[in-house]
Parts: sequence; structure tokens; C-alpha cells
Amino acid sequence: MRRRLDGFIWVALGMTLLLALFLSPFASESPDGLEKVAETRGFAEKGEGWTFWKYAPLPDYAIPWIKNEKVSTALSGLIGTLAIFFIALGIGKLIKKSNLQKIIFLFFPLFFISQTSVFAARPLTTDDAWTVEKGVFQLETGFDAARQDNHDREYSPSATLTYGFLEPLDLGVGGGYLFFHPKEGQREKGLADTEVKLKYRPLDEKDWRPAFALTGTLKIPTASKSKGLGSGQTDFGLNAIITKSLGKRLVLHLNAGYTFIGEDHVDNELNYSMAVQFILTEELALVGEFIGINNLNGRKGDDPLSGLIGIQFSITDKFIWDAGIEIGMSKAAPDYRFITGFTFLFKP
Amino acid sequence: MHIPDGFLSHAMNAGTFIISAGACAYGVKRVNRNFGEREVPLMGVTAAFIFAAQMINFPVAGGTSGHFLGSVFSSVLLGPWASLLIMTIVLVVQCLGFADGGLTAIGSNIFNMGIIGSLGGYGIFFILYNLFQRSQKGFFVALSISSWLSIVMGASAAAIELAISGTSPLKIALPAMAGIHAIIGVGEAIITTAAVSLILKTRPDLVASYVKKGALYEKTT
Repeated sequence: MRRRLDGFIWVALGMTLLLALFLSPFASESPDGLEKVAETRGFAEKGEGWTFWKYAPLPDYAIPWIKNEKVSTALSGLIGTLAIFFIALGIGKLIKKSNLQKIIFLFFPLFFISQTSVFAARPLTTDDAWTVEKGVFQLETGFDAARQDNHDREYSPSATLTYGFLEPLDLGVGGGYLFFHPKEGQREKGLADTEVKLKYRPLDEKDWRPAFALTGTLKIPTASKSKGLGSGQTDFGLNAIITKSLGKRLVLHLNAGYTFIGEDHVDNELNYSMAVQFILTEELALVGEFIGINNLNGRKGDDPLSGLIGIQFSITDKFIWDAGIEIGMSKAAPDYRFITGFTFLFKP
Repeated sequence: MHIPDGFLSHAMNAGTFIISAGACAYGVKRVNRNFGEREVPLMGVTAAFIFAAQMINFPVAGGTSGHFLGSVFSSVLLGPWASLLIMTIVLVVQCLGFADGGLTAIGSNIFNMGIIGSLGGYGIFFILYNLFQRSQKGFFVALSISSWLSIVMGASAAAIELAISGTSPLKIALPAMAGIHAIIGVGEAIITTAAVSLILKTRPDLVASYVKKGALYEKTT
């Protein structure tokens, strides 16, 4: 016979909270092993240049508005310990044995949907190898807000309509409107560039083989050059896409492409990106990606590199909401960018 | 051992991220197969204990401090895959909530402390425990050696990542990291052995790898 666990859990949790509350303020403040090695071996400054995630609510185990260091550390330890307890408990509940059947039932239909018709690519910049089902329209609407490193801001509503001409072939047209609010100087607004994109998928995913698709994108310069909203030149890009499902919950997308830039004195671009979709429940998926562009001019500082995390939420199977935050990891990429939007699927 | 942003190259971080994400996905599957009603609260409290204990830095030689890691501790209690998930949860919360360890380096941190620490540490524990023919003494010897090694191996992995990223040459980073963590690992071994023996005294049924004689994740309920 098994003994009840509750008593033990409460005692153990109580002891842990006491530990966090009364011992953490008296922890040694010397640098830890790695910090010490970084100091003495002279690479500590590499870690001081930048932080990717600047929004930690309790940085360095302190509550920013509590002046007393010991109290601040003790309380942040208490908060963290309780938070971890509930997060681990929640995740444990989600994946424990009795839910196994339920989880499999939840995930299979989603994958079926995602591979035959669509699983919104938004908010990812990385493209997937899936195409819109034959005879179906997909309308993606979105809103972006970006801040550059120099605090210039850009807001942009956009819409893209894609139609599945054949099972492995779709064609999309997208455009938007730009509001440019520089930190200093004249605010501008106007049409953004228009993009026409043809996607063809010669290889479907089968057994171990990933799906493979190619896209060609034509940028038509509808944005005003005089207002500084566009280059006024036509660009053409080619992109190779690999999509692979890893198990029942994880999908990996890899992109590599080349863009011929029409503007004079601007180098062509090589783009590469990697995205992961983690299917959490029937409705909800977490997404993340790294996106990079190489300007092929040999100057590394000009190359944008950024990371994005976001969610996709299926309100119905033909109506998906998404949101994401992209954080720049190099000077050339926006400081951050918020993205949200909806994807609709409809058949005329 | 939490690596901040900027120490490792993006290629290094992307590579370890893919490995860690894959291992976690597989870990979810393994844990899913074995977890019942009673393991869930135990996972919660183990993760909470590891987080609290990681805050308590103890001084070691030469103006350096170290803290408990807990990957072998949680492996022995709940199995290596659950331990990997616990370490991942702790690392993600530390990174997002407390700015401890970089978000770009999260894959590398999970790799060093979860994959090397939990899976590798448990593997060594498992081999040693069986070599000692699962005696009580052998259990504690295996526990202390594997928890010490989990720290040294994790730190060595971090040193190798630093070297591949071009941050610090291997012949400098590896002895420095392994050396200081060989001392911190003694603390790890003491805390792990003390905590596990305390639980064994009060609730021996909770230490799955002791009671079940070996492969705890092959549990049947």
C-alpha cells in the first residue's frame, strides 16, 4: 500500500520556502565558477555588451523597488520558488500518464490539418513548405509595431491574399500601409511595397524525408521613394524551404534564399532562418525562430540578425490568431518588433 | 555555470538549442509514459527545491562561489528524463524571470546542465550503482561520484562550447573551468548525498532509483 504523498509534499515545500526566504540573503556574493574564469581569463567583457532578454521582472534575484538588499533577495527567492513549484506542477499535470491518450487524440487531428491545408505561418518570418489547399483562399491580416535601435518607430497594418491553384502550388499577393515615426524629423505615411509570391512544393513530407518547397518573390515598388518608405526599385528573391515534423509536437522549418536588390549601390542579400513550432494543445502552438540576412558586403555590422518568439491560437480551424515579439540581436535589426494578426481560410 | 548572452557564438547556441529541444521533446514522451498521480507534486516540489538551493551560493577557494545544481539529485528521485524537464523549467524561469543565464544561451545551458548533468550524470550513477551490485553503500558511493562528475562534466562542456565559439582557447578554458568546478562539485556531492539520505530515511518509497533497483523509468503501476 502506498502512503499518501500530500503531507510530505507540504513539509518539503515549506522547508524549501524557508530555505529560499532565510538562507538566500546570506549566500556568498563572490562570482561563481564561470564568472571567475571569465574574469581571470579575460573574456568577461564579452558578456557585458548586450542582453537579449531585457525584461526580466526580478533581475539578479532582486525586487527592483525594494531598497533593503536582504529583504529584496529573500522575497524574490520566495516568489521564484513558489512560481517554479506551480509551473513544474502544471507541466507535470499536462504530461502525466493519464493524459496520454487525450494528448495523442488532441495532436493527431491538428497535424492532419496542418499538413494538408494550412497552419498559419504568421507570426514567423520563416516560410513553411506547406501550401494553401487547392481552391482555397487564405487571407492573412496583421499589424506590426517596430522600434529601431535609434528609437525610430514604424507601424504597419498589412494583408496578404493567397490562393491554392494546385495542390502543391499557391500564389499570394500582399501589401500594407506604413506609418513612419522617426525620433526626430518629419513623420511619414503611405503605401508599403507590394509583394507577389509563388510557392511550389515538389516534395511532400514522407517517412524520414522532409517536405521541400521553393518560392519566388517579386517586390513591386509601390512605396514612395521620396518619403523614404521604399527603395523605388523592383527586387526579386528566391527561397528554398525545408519543413520536417519531429515527432508529434515539433515542426522544424529551415529557409535559405537569395534576393536580387534592384536599388543601385546596394548589395544583394543572402537570407537564412530557422523556425520551430511546438504544438502544445489542439488550439495552441508556440513558435520561435532565428532570422539572419547577410549583405555580402563583408561588413558584419550591417547584417540584421534577430530572434522571435510567439504563439498561434486556432479560434476555429479556419480562423487563427497569432502574436509574437521579435528582438534584434545585431545593430542592423530592429530593437524589437511586436506582431499580431489573424489568418482566415475560405472557399468561394 | 549559467552562461550569459555574448559568450557563445550563435551557431553554437543554435546547435545546442536543437539538441536540447529534441531531447526535451523526447523527455516529455518518456515522462508521459511513466508519470502517475504521485510523481506530479513531487516534480513540483523538487523543481522548487532546486531553484531555492541554486540561489544559495557557498564560498569556495579564491574568492569564488558555487551553488548546488541538482541534476543528479532530481534524476535519482524522478528519473533522468523528468530531471531534464525540471532543469529546463528552472533554467527558463531563471533566464526569463531573474536574468540569470542568457536567453540566446538557453540551449547551451540546458545542454550542459540538463543533458550532460541529468542524463549523463544519471548514466554514470546507473553504471556505478550496478557495478556495486546495488548495495546500500554502493548507492551512496555511486551517488556522490556521479553528482561530483555531473558538475565537472557540465563545466567541461561549457569550456568546450566557449572554445568552439572562439571566446577562450580550450587549453585555457578547460583546465580553469574543470578545476574550479572540481571543488564546487564536492559541495554538490555533499548536498546531494545528504538530501537523498534524508529522504531515504523518511520516505524511502520516493527515491525511485533506490527502491526499484535500477531503471526507475521502467516503472509499472
